[in-house]
Amino acid sequence: MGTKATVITADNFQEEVLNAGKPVILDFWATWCPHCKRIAPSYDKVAAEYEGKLVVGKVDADEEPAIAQKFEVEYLPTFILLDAEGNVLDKVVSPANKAAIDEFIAKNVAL
Amino acid sequence: MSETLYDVVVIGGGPAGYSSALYCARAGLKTIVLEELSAGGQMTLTEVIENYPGFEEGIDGFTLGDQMQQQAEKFGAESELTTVSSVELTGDVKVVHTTDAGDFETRCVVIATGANARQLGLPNEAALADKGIHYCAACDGMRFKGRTVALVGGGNTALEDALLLSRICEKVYLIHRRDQYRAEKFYVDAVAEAENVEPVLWSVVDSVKVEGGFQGVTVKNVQTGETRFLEADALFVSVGRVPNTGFLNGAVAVDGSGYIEADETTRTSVPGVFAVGDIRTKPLRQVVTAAADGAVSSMFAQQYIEELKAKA
Repeated sequence: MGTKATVITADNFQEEVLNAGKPVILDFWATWCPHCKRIAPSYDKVAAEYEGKLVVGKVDADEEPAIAQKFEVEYLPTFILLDAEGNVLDKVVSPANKAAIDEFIAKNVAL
Repeated sequence: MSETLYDVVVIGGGPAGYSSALYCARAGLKTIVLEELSAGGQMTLTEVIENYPGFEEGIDGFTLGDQMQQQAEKFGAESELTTVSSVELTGDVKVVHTTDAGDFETRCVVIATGANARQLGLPNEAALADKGIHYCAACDGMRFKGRTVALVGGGNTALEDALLLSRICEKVYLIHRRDQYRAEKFYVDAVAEAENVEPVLWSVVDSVKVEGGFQGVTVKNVQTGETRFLEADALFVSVGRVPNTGFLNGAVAVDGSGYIEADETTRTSVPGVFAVGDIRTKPLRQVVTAAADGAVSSMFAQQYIEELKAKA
């Protein structure tokens, strides 16, 4: 699946997430999860619209179980917002559409 | 406000919406589909679609939805990823308002917004949606691989879901309010043969227990009033569907269940507004009947536009 979001793995987690120097949103998803795939085009739009202000990342929860465990991801898709220091600000499970993701971002970070 | 006047704005990008767009575009109508998620609608929540003609081995809903979108776009239909917030349907130029893509002016509106899973009505249900209470076995079943789950419902979809879960999970409680399922014999027989499906009949869901995670479901026997606690890691709800008409705010006539009143012509109570697919009153809601509606709607949209032009 082509995505405009940054694919986050154990290898680039430190650099792309912790050393980003700006807020980060992570989408935890899996290939078998239809809700994850249905929201994916909206998330691509988020990646394009917030470019430069927010790191928009995707984590395949099956491929990267350590990252999913670190953030205690229980259900998919889970979206997690981190501040510029890497602290968890908030999480949301299965937002209904892009407007819900926008609201989740706006509620937690001033961009 | 967009400068463009569309002939047809299709709300919803499932099989009905994209079939309508395909036929409208091929008829030379300026057409756009507004969809808030990926193409395919409810099809994407099915593991494999086995009853859409032409796909002998079955096809997954994402691929079919994507192909329907590409086919419509090949003939000139446009697509916009956005959420429709409200509509103005009276008048010769109708307006469709969106949350983040502005307004769309159009001569015709095709409503193809389908239906969503019906909720049980438990007090904490919204907070637990997709987090212990689930509405799509094909979507979320894998999350409970090797565990015990409960499922409530008695129709075809419910029993199909129970069978799917029985292949993934250690055990499935199948909660139904009567002693006989509404589902077809094929499903009833298959469930009877599934050793790890335990029917919990004459029962309704009374409450769910959540303490540091989902613990289980308390069911109540409708005949005796007795309650029983079923230890489970999730509750799957499969008790029918509700049509997505909220954004219409009563602008078109609906039946007692909330489906838009329209006959085989797909024409609604409002001239120039058509209802296609699961949103329409109809005896059988399937991908193939949804696609058929889409085709029919284009014929009556063309007719309506011709009449508008003759009037002008």
